[in-house]
Amino acid sequence: MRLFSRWVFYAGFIFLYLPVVVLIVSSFNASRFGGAWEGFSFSWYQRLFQEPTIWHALVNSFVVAIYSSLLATLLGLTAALALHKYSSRLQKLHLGLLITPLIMPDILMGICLLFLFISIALKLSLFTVFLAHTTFCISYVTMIIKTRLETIEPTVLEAARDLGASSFTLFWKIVLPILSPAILAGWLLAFTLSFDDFVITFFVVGPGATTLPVYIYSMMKFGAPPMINALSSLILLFTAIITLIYYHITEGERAS
Amino acid sequence: MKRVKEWFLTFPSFGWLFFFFFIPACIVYAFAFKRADVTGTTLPGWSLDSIKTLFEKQSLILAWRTIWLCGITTLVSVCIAIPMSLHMALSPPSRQQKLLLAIMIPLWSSFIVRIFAWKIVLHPEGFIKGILLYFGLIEKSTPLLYNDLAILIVMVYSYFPFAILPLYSAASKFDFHLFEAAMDLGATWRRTFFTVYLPVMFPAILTASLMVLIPAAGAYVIPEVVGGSGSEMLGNTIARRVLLDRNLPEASALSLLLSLLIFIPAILISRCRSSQIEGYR
Amino acid sequence: MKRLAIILSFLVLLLMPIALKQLFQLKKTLYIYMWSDYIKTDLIKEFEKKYDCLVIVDTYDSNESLLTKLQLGGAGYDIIFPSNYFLSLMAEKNLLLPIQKEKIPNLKYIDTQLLEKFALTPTRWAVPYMVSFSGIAWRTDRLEGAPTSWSLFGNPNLKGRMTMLNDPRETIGAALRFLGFSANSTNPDEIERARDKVLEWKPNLAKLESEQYKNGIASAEYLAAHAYNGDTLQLTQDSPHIGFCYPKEGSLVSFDYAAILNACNDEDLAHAFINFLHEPKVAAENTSFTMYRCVNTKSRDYLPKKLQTSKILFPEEDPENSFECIKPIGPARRDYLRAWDAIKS
Repeated sequence: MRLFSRWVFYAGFIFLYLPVVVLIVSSFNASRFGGAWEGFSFSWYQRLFQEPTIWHALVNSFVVAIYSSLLATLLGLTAALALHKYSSRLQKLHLGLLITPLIMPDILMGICLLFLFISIALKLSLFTVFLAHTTFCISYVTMIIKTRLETIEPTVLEAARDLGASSFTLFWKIVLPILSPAILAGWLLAFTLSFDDFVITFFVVGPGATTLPVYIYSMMKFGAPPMINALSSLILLFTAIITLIYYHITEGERAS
Repeated sequence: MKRVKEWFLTFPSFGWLFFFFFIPACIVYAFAFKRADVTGTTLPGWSLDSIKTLFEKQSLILAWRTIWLCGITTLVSVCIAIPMSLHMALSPPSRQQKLLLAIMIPLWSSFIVRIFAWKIVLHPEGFIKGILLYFGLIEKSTPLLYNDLAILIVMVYSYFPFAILPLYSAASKFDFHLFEAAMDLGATWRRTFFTVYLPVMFPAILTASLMVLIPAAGAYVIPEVVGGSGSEMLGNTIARRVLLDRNLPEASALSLLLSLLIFIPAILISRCRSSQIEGYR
Repeated sequence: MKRLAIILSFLVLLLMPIALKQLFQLKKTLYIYMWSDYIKTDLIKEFEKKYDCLVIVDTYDSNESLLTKLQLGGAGYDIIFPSNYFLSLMAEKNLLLPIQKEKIPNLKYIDTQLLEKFALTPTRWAVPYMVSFSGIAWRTDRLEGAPTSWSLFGNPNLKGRMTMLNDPRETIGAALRFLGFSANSTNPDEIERARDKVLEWKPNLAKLESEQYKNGIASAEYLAAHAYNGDTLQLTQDSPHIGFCYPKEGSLVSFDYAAILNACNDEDLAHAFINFLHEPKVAAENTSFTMYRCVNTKSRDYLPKKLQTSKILFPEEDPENSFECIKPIGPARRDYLRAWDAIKS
């Protein structure tokens, strides 16, 4: 059984990385239409850097990701603090409101937000994308910070209070520094979720507000030039780096 | 005074989610009780017409297809994830971090990109097909893409890492000395796995199933990209109703159905879990 | 930790001007919503330089998704390119701005003869832009001989290697023509029989695709596809093994019109753009690139010789071909959609 699980692990690992490898390899395929291999080439990477619409989409993705992740982190922090500190009926409702987006599939979230924007006659644009992204990221940040909050020894806080610290000092000088890796991890997660989101964005995007995943999808639908392979490979590299950073941060967490 | 302070702290996130999540959800579910005309304008007034379309033959076929595709995906994903998480938990602690990281990196990379990669892998002139043909496992005309099989493969691929997380978390807390104890008493490793390990892991298995079931039920991109014309799932149909047919009420009715498909197992599983945990007290 | 906060705030400040720029465009901007691969990017740049503005082009893949985007508050676009059979629907919904003829002097080049041939009356809501004929694209190196009939899609030997268009009017229309009925039939029985025919063909189809078949045919993922003549001609530029033909039972033609939305920001600029498109040399350059025929008589003179006499671009001149123009069918649309649902499920 032990041996069996080891083999399953390796098989699963190969399964997980197979498409990634195929993608990266084919981004160097000189052939225009995928399928058969026609020689090694960097041309798709070169063409990538000359295509202005891609940069437009990339900038859009970045702008939305930065602002929505920041707002979501702020809201998630206050939410986690409220949940941890109080335990009234209000907090039970609060928790319900936070957990439900986590179990709702993207497509339902997308539809909900679209219907809302239609109902209040808000024109779809990069702003609506920003609103949507913030909304679905809050829950994730809250859960990460909340989990960390629960592991803080209450005795530390009691001791500080006994020594005369005010509530404010308590929060600013003790709780916040302890929480900061969790806050950072939450922010990073929110950033990645926002940057990578497709379905929800697809429903609320307006003219000129195309983000990178939406752009890739439309490239896929409207004929797939191998530029997408090159673009995708670069994205994979980028997210690999971010994941490593995330784990570097949370590793320190686990050690403590 | 304390109430005011509590409200102050709760309000930002509560208010935001109430306005941008709760209200929209209510709007969507309310739309299910309206009707749309042929050109796509939602008519004023209420009606059960849209709900009635849920009971037509096409909707039932659609619902059934979604259920069984999700069911199989969940089953296969969990079956893969259990041995994988076991292996990770049995590895030396220093390696465990690296293994977890190795699993997580593809998960964090762009979802769209990885789906697109499968189109290349399963290409009818691609090398996977070549390999399978060489070993005589399939015929030249067997399509690897644009059918239920492709959807299953890509769904399992996308969601089984979600199953690994809770299973690994529980497995790493499992006391493997129990295995030694059982073996001292004469049981084989395999026997202990089935009679001791799995029952203890049961709550985590339930969580893992839920973590796969939810995204699978709402899958939109996967059936759209690698599915065929006969493999529409609830997610695609909802999108089609909104984006092409402009039939918002019917889209809402289908969303209602999808929500049921998700919330019912979710509630059952959380009931199951809390009774399980009760059992251990 | 402090360091990270500083880096973060630096990033925010850095992106602030870009964010503001996205939200408040400083230059005059024209937002265009059109079919993909429908205009040469160089021509857009030429227009941008000539009128000192920015042109942003978003694409859609069907009339339905166009209409939905507009109705669901996707306004913000200035010019759209609906097909002829969608125009009346859009005009009814008050989405369009009437065209001011004085602002488009190049209207004199419009091929009114072609429009009359398909019984299309001039409309004040839009300007005809391009015409597309649908037929069958096929791999000359994999199939023996050009397909001559829509029944090709009933051939089980090509199972899983064919596609039809993801458009209810085109695909059901093809079946209607195959059965000898009009593609604009409002007779529920005829529509049902056409639906059943498509369902009969469906097991042989890999997908219903209006865009990706291009890539599929080029990479030999598909061996035959229900396709548009322009798209297919585009492919033959890079891929020698692709042919195109019109089935003998007759196939469909549709005209795409350039229309200006009511909520347009700059009417003069929008009219100028449409006028620019119908500049004979511009139209010819566009046609040479997109392979779609512009409804512009003078532009034919500027086309390369090979295209001027192309039987694929100018098929109505060949008496062997028969075409029917897709027309609006009013309330019968419901029957088509129900039939399409059955096909899609």
